[in-house]
Amino acid sequence: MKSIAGLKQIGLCNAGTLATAPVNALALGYRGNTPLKITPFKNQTDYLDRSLRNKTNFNVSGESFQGTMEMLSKMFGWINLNADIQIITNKQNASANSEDVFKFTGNNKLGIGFEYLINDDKRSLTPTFEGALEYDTAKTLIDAADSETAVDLGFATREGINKAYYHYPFMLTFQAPKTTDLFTKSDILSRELKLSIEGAKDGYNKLVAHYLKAELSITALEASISKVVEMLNKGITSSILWKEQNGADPSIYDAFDFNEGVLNQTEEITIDDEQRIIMVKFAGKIPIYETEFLFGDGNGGVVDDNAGATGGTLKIGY
Amino acid sequence: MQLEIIKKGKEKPDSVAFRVFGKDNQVDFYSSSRLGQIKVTSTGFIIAVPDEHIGKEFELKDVSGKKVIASGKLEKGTKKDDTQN
Repeated sequence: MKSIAGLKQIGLCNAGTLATAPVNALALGYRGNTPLKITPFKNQTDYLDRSLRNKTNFNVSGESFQGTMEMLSKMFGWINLNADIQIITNKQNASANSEDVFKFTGNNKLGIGFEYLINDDKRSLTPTFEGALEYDTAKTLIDAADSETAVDLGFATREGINKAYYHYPFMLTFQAPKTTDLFTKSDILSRELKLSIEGAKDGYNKLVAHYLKAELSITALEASISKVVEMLNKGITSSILWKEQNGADPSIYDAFDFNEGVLNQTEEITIDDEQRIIMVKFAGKIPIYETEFLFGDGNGGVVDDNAGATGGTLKIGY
Repeated sequence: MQLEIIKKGKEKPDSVAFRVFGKDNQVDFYSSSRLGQIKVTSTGFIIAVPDEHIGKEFELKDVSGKKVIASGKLEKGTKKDDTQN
């Protein structure tokens, strides 16, 4: 019998709650390809190239296009083994309950890392869930998948899709220092904000998150000597405010507010026969918990949104 | 302890999975026929369960369709009929 491809739902909730009453449940929803890969981990090879079993690695990674501030804040809360994860495959036959269900809970929780991205093409959050389990533990987890009953995480749709959580790129503000726009919007060629988790792997290949790495860049077509000198005259580090509008109302946005001293600035100027541009970059790493989310009215969200579903502000390095 | 479940239903599952639930509904013990941990007999299933799980809730599922064949509380010397006839 041929197996059926695809994952129906990739859901997370607070650690220790999947088996009882899931708390803070969230799904990747609209997403790119998100393969679940199960591979040997740190197998040893003997002198005749025979592989000796060791652990088995589970890796799930894919891009979600529902990267709201709520999802981002939950990911921060779930790093360092603070989430239960449930992965449900598509049904394997026409019968009810023919989905396979992989539950990563208890000692089998996976490490979590992520990359949050805003550029001209998209706004997305790509989490990576990974961990290696002892061979027999892994075998048991896999064996259990086709008799596990999926926990209803309370999503309205089968994949956890919520169209209100999808936002296209919509530049509102890029200021450095705050209150000073770097460039006129119409002169901007491209831009990118990338936040990613950095850390070290433990003995079970689970990420221990230590730092948030931030990389911002903006490339402008306004590269006159006067503008270049203006950029060169800026301090090596300054406060930065990036805002991305969510929908038609400019008071609803996702904001990233970097304190002075967090990211340092560099400049690259290119003058050739095709273009004359200036790229300004800001980069640095921040201890992972030197971050704070603000939600609700005045912080990018609607009045009664205290989770960041509509918008919010991430303050970094204050 | 050894749990014996007498299968009275007409259909005999190809594969069964056994779970013991502990605090907060967490799975404290798992075994399956595919892993060779459950003995399939002509009358049912024999499952070895560590004594530490006595008193906890258990369930035995037919893997195909995830139907619960038997469930209850683990007691020493348990011999149960299935609940699916």
